[in-house]
Amino acid sequence: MSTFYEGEPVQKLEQQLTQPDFETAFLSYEHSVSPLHRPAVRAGICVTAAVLFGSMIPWYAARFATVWLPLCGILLALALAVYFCREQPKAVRRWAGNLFRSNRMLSLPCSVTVYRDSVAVKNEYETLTLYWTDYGACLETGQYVILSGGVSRNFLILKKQGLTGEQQAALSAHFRNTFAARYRRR
Amino acid sequence: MHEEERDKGPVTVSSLPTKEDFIEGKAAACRAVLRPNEVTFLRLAGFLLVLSGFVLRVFLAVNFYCKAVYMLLVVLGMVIGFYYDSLQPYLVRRRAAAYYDSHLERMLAQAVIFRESTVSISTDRYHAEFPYSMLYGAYEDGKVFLLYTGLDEIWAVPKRAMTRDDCRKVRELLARRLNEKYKQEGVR
Repeated sequence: MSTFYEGEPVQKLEQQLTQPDFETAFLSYEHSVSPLHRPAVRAGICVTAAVLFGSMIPWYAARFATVWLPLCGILLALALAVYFCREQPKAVRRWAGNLFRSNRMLSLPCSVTVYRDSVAVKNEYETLTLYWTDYGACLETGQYVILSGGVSRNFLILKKQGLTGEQQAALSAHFRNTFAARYRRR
Repeated sequence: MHEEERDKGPVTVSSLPTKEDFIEGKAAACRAVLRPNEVTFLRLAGFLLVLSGFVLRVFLAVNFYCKAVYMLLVVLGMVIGFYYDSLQPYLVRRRAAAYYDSHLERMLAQAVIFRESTVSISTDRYHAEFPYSMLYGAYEDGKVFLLYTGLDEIWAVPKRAMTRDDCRKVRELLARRLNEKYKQEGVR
């Protein structure tokens, strides 16, 4: 990286990701992709569909002398709502767990140095040096900063645990300024 | 003795992914995750649908509507039967080509060095040297070697950047170091 800026780092972190860390961060990322990815929104759509099916019952019963079809529709919509709220997050977590277990580099202790224009991640075997423009988006939650869409590695998860309030605020301000419209907070 | 020593020397593969390399890498990654039972099941289901569609069309079609429905059954059977052989590779290749065209800045030159006990990967943004035990797996087909550092983290090493002798050495090394984690398909 010939133009790599090596001035004072914004923040230096020493961290080790665990499977629950990765799963939680991955789930947060999944839910932030779009409103339709949120379980509550999906379940809300299903419940609305169930209500619509329910409102059709009097008309349907008068016309076809049975209510089986709208009842099946209601049951299906409610079952989907339960699935989106309860089962799908578990499935996403399972998939995240598989991803984490499959990549042994992710569980190694590493040092993350956040610079103005880039980030350097080092562990026992590898060194990643990426510009912020290499990432697609930044999501900040209470516990993590999740950078997605990286070139060599899709996710970079920074744990905020262990940082002082001031350090967290500095990191937060840095990502807010750097990613601008691609920065989201949950 | 001299040849034996040369055989144990590192194999260096340097390349800048071309559109063809990228597409072949994605197609190989897609083939690598196919489950043989799933493929067989879909082919069989497709064949049965086509057969039943033809039988119904010839013996039981009474009007235009029936004929159209039975022909749709045949078409559906063909789509299902040939999904993994033609449709999926076509879609994957098309998507990979579109991705390559719109993400040219992400196509970085890479150097992969296969040593006896470690493998090293270097790009402008990434450098790693790790033992083979850190790899999730490896896959080889007629055009590329795929090194999996994780389920979703794949390094494609194009064979066009290697000599025939290098290919053999890498193949032997991966087979020896990864055992059942190394898969081969369509290699002559």
